[in-house]
Amino acid sequence: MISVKNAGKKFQDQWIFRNLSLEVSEGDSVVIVGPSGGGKSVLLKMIAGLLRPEEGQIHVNSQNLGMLFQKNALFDSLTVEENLLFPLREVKKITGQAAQEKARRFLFQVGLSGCESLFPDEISGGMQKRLGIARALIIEPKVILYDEPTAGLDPITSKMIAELIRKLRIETQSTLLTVTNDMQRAYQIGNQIFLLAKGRLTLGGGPLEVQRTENLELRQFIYGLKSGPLTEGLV
Amino acid sequence: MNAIRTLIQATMGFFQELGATALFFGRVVRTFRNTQDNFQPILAQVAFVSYRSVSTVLFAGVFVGAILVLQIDLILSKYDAEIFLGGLNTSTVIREVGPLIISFLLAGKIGAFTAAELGTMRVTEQIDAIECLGTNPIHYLVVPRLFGIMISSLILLFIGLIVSVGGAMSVAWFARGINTVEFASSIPKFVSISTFGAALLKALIYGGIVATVSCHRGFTASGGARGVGQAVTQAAIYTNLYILFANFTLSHILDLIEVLANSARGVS
Repeated sequence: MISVKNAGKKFQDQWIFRNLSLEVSEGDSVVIVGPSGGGKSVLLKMIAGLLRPEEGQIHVNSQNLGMLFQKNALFDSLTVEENLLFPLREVKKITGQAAQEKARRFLFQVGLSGCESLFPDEISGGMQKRLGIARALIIEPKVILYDEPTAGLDPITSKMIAELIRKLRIETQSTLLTVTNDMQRAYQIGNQIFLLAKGRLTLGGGPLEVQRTENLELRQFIYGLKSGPLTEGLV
Repeated sequence: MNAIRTLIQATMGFFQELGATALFFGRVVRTFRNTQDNFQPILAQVAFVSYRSVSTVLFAGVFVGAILVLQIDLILSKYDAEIFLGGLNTSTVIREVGPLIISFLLAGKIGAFTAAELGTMRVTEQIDAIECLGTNPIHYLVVPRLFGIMISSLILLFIGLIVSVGGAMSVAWFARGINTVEFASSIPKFVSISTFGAALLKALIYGGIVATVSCHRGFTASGGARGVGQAVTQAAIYTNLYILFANFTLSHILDLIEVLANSARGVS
Protein backbone atom coordinates (compact mmCIF):
# COMPACT_ATOMS: atom_id res chain seq x y z
CA MET A 1 0.00 0.00 0.00
CA ILE A 2 2.89 2.33 0.84
CA SER A 3 6.26 1.78 -0.74
CA VAL A 4 9.36 3.80 0.08
CA LYS A 5 12.48 2.81 -1.86
CA ASN A 6 15.94 4.16 -1.06
CA ALA A 7 14.50 7.55 -0.13
CA GLY A 8 16.78 10.36 0.96
CA LYS A 9 16.02 13.82 2.23
CA LYS A 10 18.28 16.70 3.09
CA PHE A 11 17.83 20.21 4.39
CA GLN A 12 20.53 22.76 3.62
CA ASP A 13 23.15 20.15 2.63
CA GLN A 14 22.46 18.10 5.77
CA TRP A 15 21.08 14.65 5.06
CA ILE A 16 18.26 13.69 7.43
CA PHE A 17 18.31 10.13 6.09
CA ARG A 18 19.46 8.25 3.02
CA ASN A 19 18.65 4.90 1.42
CA LEU A 20 15.58 4.52 3.57
CA SER A 21 13.13 1.82 2.51
CA LEU A 22 9.77 0.83 3.95
CA GLU A 23 6.88 -1.34 2.77
CA VAL A 24 3.46 -1.10 4.38
CA SER A 25 0.94 -3.72 3.24
CA GLU A 26 -2.80 -3.18 2.97
CA GLY A 27 -4.51 -3.31 6.36
CA ASP A 28 -1.25 -2.99 8.29
CA SER A 29 -0.75 -0.60 11.18
CA VAL A 30 2.88 0.43 11.20
CA VAL A 31 4.32 2.67 13.89
CA ILE A 32 7.64 4.46 13.57
CA VAL A 33 9.25 5.56 16.81
CA GLY A 34 12.50 7.37 17.31
CA PRO A 35 14.28 10.32 18.84
CA SER A 36 13.11 13.84 18.04
CA GLY A 37 14.73 15.31 14.95
CA GLY A 38 15.30 11.89 13.44
CA GLY A 39 13.12 12.58 10.41
CA LYS A 40 9.89 10.77 11.34
CA SER A 41 7.60 13.66 10.46
CA VAL A 42 9.69 14.40 7.36
CA LEU A 43 9.18 10.82 6.17
CA LEU A 44 5.44 11.10 6.81
CA LYS A 45 5.23 14.38 4.89
CA MET A 46 7.16 12.82 2.03
CA ILE A 47 4.66 9.95 1.91
CA ALA A 48 1.81 12.49 2.00
CA GLY A 49 3.40 14.28 -0.97
CA LEU A 50 4.06 17.47 0.98
CA LEU A 51 7.85 17.14 0.70
CA ARG A 52 9.87 15.80 -2.19
CA PRO A 53 12.66 13.30 -1.60
CA GLU A 54 16.08 14.25 -2.95
CA GLU A 55 16.57 10.64 -3.97
CA GLY A 56 14.61 7.41 -4.12
CA GLN A 57 10.95 6.73 -4.84
CA ILE A 58 7.77 6.85 -2.84
CA HIS A 59 4.54 5.29 -3.98
CA VAL A 60 1.15 5.22 -2.24
CA ASN A 61 -1.39 2.90 -3.79
CA SER A 62 -4.48 4.88 -2.86
CA GLN A 63 -6.57 7.61 -4.47
CA ASN A 64 -6.98 9.63 -1.32
CA LEU A 65 -5.04 9.84 1.85
CA GLY A 66 -5.92 11.15 5.29
CA MET A 67 -3.44 12.79 7.58
CA LEU A 68 -3.51 13.94 11.17
CA PHE A 69 -0.90 16.64 11.70
CA GLN A 70 1.24 16.95 14.81
CA LYS A 71 -0.36 20.28 15.70
CA ASN A 72 -3.68 19.25 14.15
CA ALA A 73 -3.60 21.96 11.42
CA LEU A 74 -7.30 22.60 11.87
CA PHE A 75 -8.82 25.41 9.82
CA ASP A 76 -9.09 28.00 12.55
CA SER A 77 -11.42 30.32 10.64
CA LEU A 78 -13.97 27.51 10.24
CA THR A 79 -16.19 25.98 12.91
CA VAL A 80 -15.82 22.39 14.08
CA GLU A 81 -18.55 21.26 11.69
CA GLU A 82 -17.19 23.34 8.79
CA ASN A 83 -13.80 21.68 9.29
CA LEU A 84 -15.52 18.44 8.28
CA LEU A 85 -17.75 19.95 5.62
CA PHE A 86 -14.72 21.38 3.81
CA PRO A 87 -13.13 18.04 2.79
CA LEU A 88 -16.56 16.65 1.98
CA ARG A 89 -17.23 19.53 -0.39
CA GLU A 90 -13.75 19.75 -1.90
CA VAL A 91 -12.84 16.08 -2.15
CA LYS A 92 -16.07 14.09 -2.12
CA LYS A 93 -18.20 16.81 -3.74
CA ILE A 94 -20.89 16.21 -1.13
CA THR A 95 -22.80 19.31 -0.03
CA GLY A 96 -26.02 20.34 1.71
CA GLN A 97 -28.02 18.05 3.95
CA ALA A 98 -26.07 14.91 3.03
CA ALA A 99 -22.76 16.54 3.97
CA GLN A 100 -24.13 17.87 7.24
CA GLU A 101 -25.52 14.48 8.22
CA LYS A 102 -22.22 12.80 7.48
CA ALA A 103 -20.24 15.44 9.37
CA ARG A 104 -22.51 15.07 12.40
CA ARG A 105 -22.18 11.28 12.28
CA PHE A 106 -18.39 11.57 12.34
CA LEU A 107 -18.51 14.14 15.14
CA PHE A 108 -20.64 11.69 17.12
CA GLN A 109 -18.12 8.89 16.43
CA VAL A 110 -15.26 10.93 17.86
CA GLY A 111 -17.35 12.23 20.75
CA LEU A 112 -17.71 15.82 19.58
CA SER A 113 -21.50 16.05 19.26
CA GLY A 114 -22.68 19.41 20.50
CA CYS A 115 -19.48 21.19 19.46
CA GLU A 116 -20.56 21.82 15.86
CA SER A 117 -20.68 25.60 16.04
CA LEU A 118 -17.55 26.08 18.15
CA PHE A 119 -14.24 27.16 16.64
CA PRO A 120 -11.12 24.98 17.03
CA ASP A 121 -9.54 27.33 19.56
CA GLU A 122 -12.65 27.05 21.74
CA ILE A 123 -12.20 23.31 22.34
CA SER A 124 -9.57 21.43 24.36
CA GLY A 125 -6.36 19.85 22.99
CA GLY A 126 -7.83 16.36 23.14
CA MET A 127 -10.97 17.49 21.35
CA GLN A 128 -8.86 19.20 18.67
CA LYS A 129 -7.00 15.93 18.18
CA ARG A 130 -10.29 14.06 17.79
CA LEU A 131 -11.52 16.67 15.33
CA GLY A 132 -8.28 16.25 13.38
CA ILE A 133 -8.88 12.49 13.28
CA ALA A 134 -12.46 13.01 12.11
CA ARG A 135 -11.28 15.37 9.37
CA ALA A 136 -8.67 12.86 8.22
CA LEU A 137 -11.22 10.05 8.16
CA ILE A 138 -14.27 11.78 6.71
CA ILE A 139 -13.07 11.37 3.13
CA GLU A 140 -12.85 7.61 3.85
CA PRO A 141 -9.20 7.22 2.89
CA LYS A 142 -7.63 3.80 2.56
CA VAL A 143 -4.35 5.11 3.94
CA ILE A 144 -4.14 7.27 7.06
CA LEU A 145 -1.00 8.95 8.35
CA TYR A 146 -0.82 10.01 12.00
CA ASP A 147 1.90 12.43 13.01
CA GLU A 148 2.35 12.27 16.79
CA PRO A 149 -1.36 11.68 17.47
CA THR A 150 -0.96 11.90 21.24
CA ALA A 151 1.70 14.60 21.54
CA GLY A 152 0.99 17.05 24.32
CA LEU A 153 -1.95 15.13 25.72
CA ASP A 154 -2.34 13.73 29.23
CA PRO A 155 -1.96 9.92 29.62
CA ILE A 156 -5.69 9.26 29.91
CA THR A 157 -6.60 11.33 26.84
CA SER A 158 -3.64 9.78 24.99
CA LYS A 159 -4.93 6.31 25.73
CA MET A 160 -8.43 7.28 24.62
CA ILE A 161 -7.13 8.77 21.36
CA ALA A 162 -5.05 5.65 20.64
CA GLU A 163 -8.10 3.52 21.38
CA LEU A 164 -10.15 5.63 19.00
CA ILE A 165 -7.52 5.27 16.27
CA ARG A 166 -7.50 1.50 16.74
CA LYS A 167 -11.28 1.24 16.74
CA LEU A 168 -11.68 3.40 13.63
CA ARG A 169 -8.99 1.42 11.83
CA ILE A 170 -10.91 -1.80 12.39
CA GLU A 171 -14.17 -0.16 11.32
CA THR A 172 -12.74 1.45 8.17
CA GLN A 173 -10.33 -1.38 7.25
CA SER A 174 -7.67 1.21 6.52
CA THR A 175 -3.88 1.09 6.45
CA LEU A 176 -2.15 3.15 9.12
CA LEU A 177 1.27 4.68 9.37
CA THR A 178 1.87 6.44 12.66
CA VAL A 179 4.91 8.23 14.00
CA THR A 180 5.17 8.79 17.72
CA ASN A 181 7.58 9.05 20.63
CA ASP A 182 5.12 7.46 23.00
CA MET A 183 5.97 3.73 23.33
CA GLN A 184 2.76 2.86 25.18
CA ARG A 185 0.68 4.24 22.32
CA ALA A 186 2.98 2.55 19.79
CA TYR A 187 2.19 -0.83 21.43
CA GLN A 188 -1.50 0.05 21.48
CA ILE A 189 -1.80 1.17 17.84
CA GLY A 190 0.81 -0.74 15.88
CA ASN A 191 1.20 -4.32 14.72
CA GLN A 192 4.68 -3.51 13.40
CA ILE A 193 7.03 -1.09 15.10
CA PHE A 194 10.11 0.48 13.50
CA LEU A 195 12.82 2.64 14.99
CA LEU A 196 14.04 5.60 12.94
CA ALA A 197 17.31 6.83 14.40
CA LYS A 198 20.61 8.08 13.03
CA GLY A 199 19.15 8.03 9.52
CA ARG A 200 18.38 4.30 9.63
CA LEU A 201 15.05 2.51 9.87
CA THR A 202 15.18 -0.66 11.97
CA LEU A 203 12.33 -3.13 12.21
CA GLY A 204 11.59 -3.98 15.83
CA GLY A 205 8.67 -6.34 15.09
CA GLY A 206 5.28 -6.58 16.82
CA PRO A 207 4.58 -4.96 20.20
CA LEU A 208 5.57 -8.07 22.16
CA GLU A 209 8.77 -8.59 20.17
CA VAL A 210 9.74 -4.96 20.65
CA GLN A 211 9.28 -5.22 24.42
CA ARG A 212 11.68 -8.19 24.44
CA THR A 213 14.08 -6.80 21.87
CA GLU A 214 17.84 -7.24 22.13
CA ASN A 215 18.45 -4.37 19.72
CA LEU A 216 20.52 -1.89 21.73
CA GLU A 217 19.25 1.22 19.98
CA LEU A 218 15.63 0.20 20.44
CA ARG A 219 16.23 -0.78 24.07
CA GLN A 220 17.88 2.55 24.78
CA PHE A 221 14.94 4.38 23.21
CA ILE A 222 12.24 2.30 24.95
CA TYR A 223 13.80 2.61 28.39
CA GLY A 224 15.03 6.19 27.91
CA LEU A 225 18.63 5.33 28.81
CA LYS A 226 21.06 8.21 28.76
CA SER A 227 24.01 6.20 27.49
CA GLY A 228 23.92 3.90 24.53
CA PRO A 229 24.33 3.83 20.76
CA LEU A 230 21.75 6.56 20.14
CA THR A 231 23.59 9.13 22.26
CA GLU A 232 27.10 8.09 21.25
CA GLY A 233 29.14 11.14 20.36
CA LEU A 234 26.63 13.52 21.92
CA VAL A 235 27.63 15.74 24.83
CA MET B 1 34.00 48.05 -1.95
CA ASN B 2 31.63 46.62 0.64
CA ALA B 3 29.02 49.25 -0.20
CA ILE B 4 29.17 48.30 -3.89
CA ARG B 5 28.86 44.61 -3.03
CA THR B 6 25.85 45.32 -0.79
CA LEU B 7 24.27 47.40 -3.55
CA ILE B 8 24.79 44.62 -6.11
CA GLN B 9 23.38 42.05 -3.69
CA ALA B 10 20.35 44.22 -2.95
CA THR B 11 19.71 44.78 -6.67
CA MET B 12 20.05 41.06 -7.37
CA GLY B 13 17.74 40.29 -4.47
CA PHE B 14 15.17 42.74 -5.84
CA PHE B 15 15.15 41.10 -9.27
CA GLN B 16 15.26 37.57 -7.85
CA GLU B 17 12.22 38.35 -5.75
CA LEU B 18 10.56 39.98 -8.76
CA GLY B 19 11.15 36.81 -10.77
CA ALA B 20 9.80 34.55 -8.03
CA THR B 21 6.71 36.76 -7.69
CA ALA B 22 6.16 36.72 -11.46
CA LEU B 23 6.39 32.90 -11.50
CA PHE B 24 3.92 32.72 -8.63
CA PHE B 25 1.53 35.01 -10.53
CA GLY B 26 1.82 32.71 -13.55
CA ARG B 27 1.01 29.72 -11.35
CA VAL B 28 -2.10 31.45 -9.99
CA VAL B 29 -3.30 32.43 -13.47
CA ARG B 30 -2.77 28.86 -14.73
CA THR B 31 -4.73 27.52 -11.76
CA PHE B 32 -7.51 30.04 -12.45
CA ARG B 33 -7.71 28.94 -16.09
CA ASN B 34 -7.69 25.24 -15.22
CA THR B 35 -10.28 25.32 -12.44
CA GLN B 36 -13.96 26.03 -12.12
CA ASP B 37 -16.24 27.51 -9.46
CA ASN B 38 -14.07 30.59 -9.02
CA PHE B 39 -16.78 33.20 -9.47
CA GLN B 40 -18.42 33.04 -6.04
CA PRO B 41 -15.21 33.01 -3.91
CA ILE B 42 -13.82 35.91 -5.97
CA LEU B 43 -17.05 37.84 -5.49
CA ALA B 44 -16.89 37.19 -1.74
CA GLN B 45 -13.32 38.53 -1.67
CA VAL B 46 -14.31 41.62 -3.68
CA ALA B 47 -17.04 42.33 -1.12
CA PHE B 48 -14.67 41.68 1.79
CA VAL B 49 -11.79 43.80 0.48
CA SER B 50 -14.04 46.66 -0.69
CA TYR B 51 -15.98 46.73 2.58
CA ARG B 52 -12.83 46.70 4.70
CA SER B 53 -11.11 49.43 2.68
CA VAL B 54 -13.90 51.79 1.70
CA SER B 55 -13.80 53.94 4.85
CA THR B 56 -10.04 54.48 4.53
CA VAL B 57 -10.41 55.28 0.83
CA LEU B 58 -13.18 57.80 1.55
CA PHE B 59 -11.12 59.49 4.24
CA ALA B 60 -7.90 59.53 2.22
CA GLY B 61 -9.69 60.53 -1.00
CA VAL B 62 -11.17 63.73 0.47
CA PHE B 63 -7.83 64.85 1.88
CA VAL B 64 -5.78 63.96 -1.19
CA GLY B 65 -8.13 66.04 -3.33
CA ALA B 66 -8.04 68.88 -0.81
CA ILE B 67 -4.25 68.93 -0.49
CA LEU B 68 -3.69 68.73 -4.23
CA VAL B 69 -6.08 71.58 -5.00
CA LEU B 70 -4.30 73.86 -2.53
CA GLN B 71 -0.85 72.97 -3.89
CA ILE B 72 -1.82 73.29 -7.54
CA ASP B 73 -3.62 76.57 -6.88
CA LEU B 74 -0.49 77.93 -5.25
CA ILE B 75 1.43 77.40 -8.48
CA LEU B 76 -1.33 78.40 -10.89
CA SER B 77 -2.04 81.63 -9.05
CA LYS B 78 1.49 82.83 -9.81
CA TYR B 79 0.63 82.73 -13.50
CA ASP B 80 -3.01 83.83 -13.18
CA ALA B 81 -4.04 80.44 -14.48
CA GLU B 82 -6.50 79.42 -11.74
CA ILE B 83 -9.01 78.70 -14.46
CA PHE B 84 -7.18 75.43 -15.06
CA LEU B 85 -7.34 74.38 -11.42
CA GLY B 86 -10.20 71.89 -11.84
CA GLY B 87 -8.73 70.28 -14.92
CA LEU B 88 -5.20 69.98 -13.60
CA ASN B 89 -6.33 68.72 -10.22
CA THR B 90 -8.68 66.11 -11.66
CA SER B 91 -6.17 64.97 -14.25
CA THR B 92 -3.44 64.57 -11.62
CA VAL B 93 -5.77 62.65 -9.32
CA ILE B 94 -6.97 60.33 -12.07
CA ARG B 95 -3.65 59.72 -13.80
CA GLU B 96 -1.20 59.53 -10.96
CA VAL B 97 -2.25 60.11 -7.40
CA GLY B 98 -5.50 58.11 -7.35
CA PRO B 99 -4.16 54.71 -8.46
CA LEU B 100 -1.01 55.19 -6.38
CA ILE B 101 -2.81 56.17 -3.17
CA ILE B 102 -5.37 53.38 -3.57
CA SER B 103 -2.63 50.81 -4.05
CA PHE B 104 -0.66 52.05 -1.03
CA LEU B 105 -3.82 51.94 1.09
CA LEU B 106 -4.57 48.45 -0.17
CA ALA B 107 -1.00 47.35 0.53
CA GLY B 108 -1.19 48.62 4.10
CA LYS B 109 -4.61 47.30 4.90
CA ILE B 110 -5.33 44.27 2.73
CA GLY B 111 -1.81 43.28 1.65
CA ALA B 112 -0.52 43.03 5.20
CA PHE B 113 -3.66 41.20 6.29
CA THR B 114 -3.39 38.71 3.42
CA ALA B 115 0.31 38.03 4.00
CA ALA B 116 -0.32 37.49 7.72
CA GLU B 117 -3.37 35.29 7.13
CA LEU B 118 -1.73 33.03 4.54
CA GLY B 119 1.55 33.03 6.47
CA THR B 120 -0.19 31.85 9.61
CA MET B 121 -2.00 29.18 7.61
CA ARG B 122 1.34 28.06 6.18
CA VAL B 123 3.25 27.84 9.47
CA THR B 124 0.36 26.11 11.26
CA GLU B 125 0.27 23.53 8.43
CA GLN B 126 -3.27 24.46 7.40
CA ILE B 127 -2.10 24.84 3.79
CA ASP B 128 -0.41 21.42 4.01
CA ALA B 129 -3.69 20.00 5.31
CA ILE B 130 -5.56 21.42 2.31
CA GLU B 131 -2.94 19.94 -0.02
CA CYS B 132 -3.12 16.64 1.79
CA LEU B 133 -6.85 16.47 1.15
CA GLY B 134 -6.06 16.59 -2.55
CA THR B 135 -7.29 20.16 -2.94
CA ASN B 136 -5.13 22.75 -4.66
CA PRO B 137 -4.46 25.47 -2.04
CA ILE B 138 -3.70 27.98 -4.81
CA HIS B 139 -7.21 27.45 -6.17
CA TYR B 140 -8.86 27.59 -2.79
CA LEU B 141 -6.83 30.33 -1.09
CA VAL B 142 -4.92 32.41 -3.60
CA VAL B 143 -7.10 32.68 -6.73
CA PRO B 144 -10.03 34.37 -4.90
CA ARG B 145 -7.73 36.71 -2.97
CA LEU B 146 -5.63 37.72 -5.96
CA PHE B 147 -8.49 38.44 -8.34
CA GLY B 148 -10.65 39.81 -5.51
CA ILE B 149 -8.02 42.41 -4.62
CA MET B 150 -7.46 43.33 -8.29
CA ILE B 151 -11.17 43.88 -8.95
CA SER B 152 -11.60 45.73 -5.64
CA SER B 153 -8.80 48.11 -6.57
CA LEU B 154 -10.89 49.23 -9.56
CA ILE B 155 -14.01 49.72 -7.43
CA LEU B 156 -12.04 51.58 -4.78
CA LEU B 157 -10.35 53.72 -7.42
CA PHE B 158 -13.75 54.74 -8.75
CA ILE B 159 -14.99 55.63 -5.26
CA GLY B 160 -11.71 57.35 -4.40
CA LEU B 161 -11.76 59.49 -7.54
CA ILE B 162 -15.31 60.70 -6.96
CA VAL B 163 -14.57 61.57 -3.34
CA SER B 164 -11.24 63.15 -4.18
CA VAL B 165 -12.69 65.39 -6.90
CA GLY B 166 -15.56 66.20 -4.53
CA GLY B 167 -13.07 67.13 -1.79
CA ALA B 168 -11.08 69.25 -4.22
CA MET B 169 -14.21 71.06 -5.42
CA SER B 170 -15.26 71.82 -1.86
CA VAL B 171 -11.86 73.20 -0.88
CA ALA B 172 -11.63 75.21 -4.11
CA TRP B 173 -15.02 76.74 -3.31
CA PHE B 174 -14.46 77.46 0.39
CA ALA B 175 -10.77 78.35 0.38
CA ARG B 176 -10.33 79.94 -3.02
CA GLY B 177 -13.84 81.01 -4.00
CA ILE B 178 -13.83 78.97 -7.22
CA ASN B 179 -17.33 77.65 -7.76
CA THR B 180 -18.19 74.18 -9.00
CA VAL B 181 -19.03 75.26 -12.55
CA GLU B 182 -15.71 77.09 -12.89
CA PHE B 183 -13.88 74.15 -11.41
CA ALA B 184 -15.56 71.65 -13.72
CA SER B 185 -15.29 73.76 -16.86
CA SER B 186 -11.59 73.03 -17.40
CA ILE B 187 -11.85 69.31 -16.70
CA PRO B 188 -12.61 68.27 -20.32
CA LYS B 189 -9.44 70.07 -21.45
CA PHE B 190 -7.26 67.80 -19.33
CA VAL B 191 -9.29 64.65 -18.89
CA SER B 192 -10.31 62.30 -21.66
CA ILE B 193 -11.35 58.68 -21.97
CA SER B 194 -7.69 57.71 -22.27
CA THR B 195 -7.00 59.37 -18.89
CA PHE B 196 -9.57 57.05 -17.32
CA GLY B 197 -8.16 54.12 -19.28
CA ALA B 198 -4.68 54.84 -17.94
CA ALA B 199 -6.02 55.10 -14.38
CA LEU B 200 -7.88 51.81 -14.65
CA LEU B 201 -4.86 50.05 -16.13
CA LYS B 202 -2.62 51.39 -13.38
CA ALA B 203 -5.08 50.48 -10.63
CA LEU B 204 -5.41 46.97 -12.04
CA ILE B 205 -1.65 46.48 -12.27
CA TYR B 206 -0.93 47.98 -8.84
CA GLY B 207 -3.76 45.95 -7.31
CA GLY B 208 -2.23 42.89 -8.96
CA ILE B 209 1.14 43.75 -7.42
CA VAL B 210 -0.38 44.16 -3.94
CA ALA B 211 -2.25 40.88 -4.27
CA THR B 212 0.54 38.82 -5.82
CA VAL B 213 3.29 39.98 -3.49
CA SER B 214 1.23 39.57 -0.31
CA CYS B 215 -0.14 36.17 -1.36
CA HIS B 216 3.33 35.02 -2.43
CA ARG B 217 5.04 36.13 0.78
CA GLY B 218 2.30 34.62 2.95
CA PHE B 219 2.09 31.41 0.96
CA THR B 220 5.83 30.79 1.19
CA ALA B 221 6.28 31.91 4.82
CA SER B 222 8.20 29.60 7.15
CA GLY B 223 9.60 29.59 10.65
CA GLY B 224 6.71 30.21 13.03
CA ALA B 225 5.58 33.61 14.30
CA ARG B 226 8.88 35.21 13.32
CA GLY B 227 8.45 33.90 9.78
CA VAL B 228 4.95 35.37 9.56
CA GLY B 229 6.27 38.73 10.80
CA GLN B 230 9.02 38.64 8.17
CA ALA B 231 6.49 37.73 5.47
CA VAL B 232 4.33 40.73 6.36
CA THR B 233 7.30 43.11 6.47
CA GLN B 234 8.70 41.84 3.18
CA ALA B 235 5.27 42.02 1.57
CA ALA B 236 5.00 45.69 2.58
CA ILE B 237 8.52 46.56 1.39
CA TYR B 238 8.39 44.72 -1.93
CA THR B 239 4.85 45.88 -2.72
CA ASN B 240 5.81 49.53 -2.34
CA LEU B 241 9.03 49.09 -4.30
CA TYR B 242 7.31 47.28 -7.16
CA ILE B 243 4.48 49.80 -7.29
CA LEU B 244 6.92 52.71 -7.53
CA PHE B 245 8.93 50.83 -10.15
CA ALA B 246 5.74 50.01 -12.09
CA ASN B 247 4.47 53.57 -11.76
CA PHE B 248 7.62 55.00 -13.25
CA THR B 249 7.66 52.49 -16.11
CA LEU B 250 3.94 52.64 -16.81
CA SER B 251 3.76 56.45 -16.73
CA HIS B 252 6.54 56.64 -19.29
CA ILE B 253 4.94 54.05 -21.54
CA LEU B 254 1.50 55.67 -21.32
CA ASP B 255 2.95 59.14 -21.97
CA LEU B 256 4.81 57.79 -24.96
CA ILE B 257 1.65 56.16 -26.29
CA GLU B 258 -0.24 59.43 -25.85
CA VAL B 259 2.46 61.44 -27.64
CA LEU B 260 2.49 58.96 -30.51
CA ALA B 261 -1.31 58.96 -30.71
CA ASN B 262 -1.41 62.76 -30.72
CA SER B 263 1.24 63.04 -33.41
CA ALA B 264 -0.64 60.49 -35.51
CA ARG B 265 -3.74 62.65 -35.15
CA GLY B 266 -1.72 65.79 -35.89
CA VAL B 267 -2.32 67.32 -32.46
CA SER B 268 0.61 69.26 -31.03
